[in-house]
Amino acid sequence: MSENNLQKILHIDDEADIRQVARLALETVGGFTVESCASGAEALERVKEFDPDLILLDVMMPGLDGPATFRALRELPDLGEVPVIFVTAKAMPSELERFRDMGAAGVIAKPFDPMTLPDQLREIWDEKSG
Amino acid sequence: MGDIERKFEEKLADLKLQYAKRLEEKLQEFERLSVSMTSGSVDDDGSILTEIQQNAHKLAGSAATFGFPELGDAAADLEEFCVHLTAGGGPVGQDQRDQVAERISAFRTLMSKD
Repeated sequence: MSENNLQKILHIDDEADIRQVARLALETVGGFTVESCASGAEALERVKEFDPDLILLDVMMPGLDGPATFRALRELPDLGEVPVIFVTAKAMPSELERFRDMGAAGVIAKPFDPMTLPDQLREIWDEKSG
Repeated sequence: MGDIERKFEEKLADLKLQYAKRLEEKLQEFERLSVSMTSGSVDDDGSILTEIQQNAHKLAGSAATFGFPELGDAAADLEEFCVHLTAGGGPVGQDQRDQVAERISAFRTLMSKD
């Protein structure tokens, strides 16, 4: 993990289209280093080696969904403090509250504007680090 | 426009083009499921409706990002309708299946409008 500086983002989403566009935006516009995973299981395998500063996690996925992946990530040693931002197409107030209660750093609504995605992450990161 | 933005816009345009090509396959899959669902009692267990709901969820979450906002809204509406239909747990009637099919049949028009 980098110190107080957002550099490495682990993005987990089962949809290839979304992984591609998020990587493009976060790398090209945001200047971040991005690791993309197609499932929660894949993320759990690769998260330690990548050592992210922040995790961007889709809610609805087959197999391990977002909340289940979140809980599994929290059980891994040394990763308990890495902020997790959920990405959801159902950004209802009750859902947002549920994710925050779980310990999520923030929630980003789908569909998102790729151009502003890096700023959205930075804003949540700054709030969390502030 | 700076170099970074120009590079981003160029690559984004390429991704949008690729997405638009794959959209045709996505719509064909919706239409195939729609025909299966409305052609008799093959969906007694609701599995086709669930598949339609899952596909609608994916489309709702991605279409606007790739330049198809109206299609994305319609997909979100279809997803919500499917959730509503399956919430009771009982069998879904022909009339309701037809309403699902109607929503799917509107997708092509919306895609061309976007």
